[in-house]
Amino acid sequence: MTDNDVATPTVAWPARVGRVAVFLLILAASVLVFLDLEWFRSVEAMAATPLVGLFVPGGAATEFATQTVFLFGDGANPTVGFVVSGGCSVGVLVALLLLAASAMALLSRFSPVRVLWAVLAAVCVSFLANVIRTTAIAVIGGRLGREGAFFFVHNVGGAVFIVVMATVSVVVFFNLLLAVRRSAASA
Amino acid sequence: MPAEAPVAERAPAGSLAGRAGRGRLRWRTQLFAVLVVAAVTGLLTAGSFHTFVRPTLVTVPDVKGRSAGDARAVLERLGLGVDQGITSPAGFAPGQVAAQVPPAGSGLRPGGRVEIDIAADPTRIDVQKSFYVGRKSAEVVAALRTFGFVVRVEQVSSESPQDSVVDVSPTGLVLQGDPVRVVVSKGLGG
Repeated sequence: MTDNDVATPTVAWPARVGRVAVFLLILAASVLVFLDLEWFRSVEAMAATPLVGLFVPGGAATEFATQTVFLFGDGANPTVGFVVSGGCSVGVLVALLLLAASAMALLSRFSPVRVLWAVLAAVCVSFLANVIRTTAIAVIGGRLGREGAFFFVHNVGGAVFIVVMATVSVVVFFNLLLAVRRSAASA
Repeated sequence: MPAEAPVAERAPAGSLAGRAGRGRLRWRTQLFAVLVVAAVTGLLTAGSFHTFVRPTLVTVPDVKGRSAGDARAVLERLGLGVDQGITSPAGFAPGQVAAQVPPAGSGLRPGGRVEIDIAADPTRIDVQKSFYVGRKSAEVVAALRTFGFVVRVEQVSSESPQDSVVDVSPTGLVLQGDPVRVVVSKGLGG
């Protein structure tokens, strides 16, 4: 392909379509997470099962039947039950991040692929941080009971950790989004 | 990364040092992002496997002899559902779990259900021989167990059709949980 083959009007359209497609994709993901935070919570809990063992979907099998809860434990010891409530999820943070990122996809300055990669990485940072936090709470709650260390990890340490990691996810997002290609910088 | 950032800021935009600093920062962020995305992908894959393909099984505890409320709490804390029925009070105080299915030690998927039968308050039930004699033994045994009796089956040679009930005792008002003897014909052959 020579330089003459790249006609300006025909290049603009695919790029624009790509931007709109990525915008719609990220926006749809944001709306879906907002609309079904319970589903997002179940995905978070499921991701923690390799670390803490047991995952029980829905409240159907528990005394908390009116709300969605998840129990972690080793399956043999009843005292290791752990409830993941709505406050333990980063669903809202992720949905807000997706919403903000969807607007970035429309800017011609950023390549849609880069926006996708940046938002994926940022969401994963928040998601992973919450899985680690949830797991720590489950393990400490299971081993040390529901007072003392559990209270600290749940109400103080976990909250601070999530705030820090949410900030890190935003930093990662902009870092990846604004990363200048070496070739572009040297041009 | 604080060592790299000042280099990138201090150096002129087009300088070699500035480009190298930004390049290192970008490279580290990219590596961090790749590792995090890979970790999340791995956890989700393993989590799906643990949840849907080969879930960690819950060991069903022994709840026999506990009160109904206790048993329900223990099972629900393990993420198991509870179906409650009533059974003969024989051997258990009224309100205690007298039987459970599946038995203790079984493995159940999270969210699986355990049936617990609570020992009923004993009442007297009218057992009429004429109602049971001549009927299939299986039907009679099932009916009497439903009423909460402990059924003992004996087989005798009889002219009555094989597997039919020839006698039931005691009769009249019988206390739930008491044993009821059901005599079943095995025909004339043996």
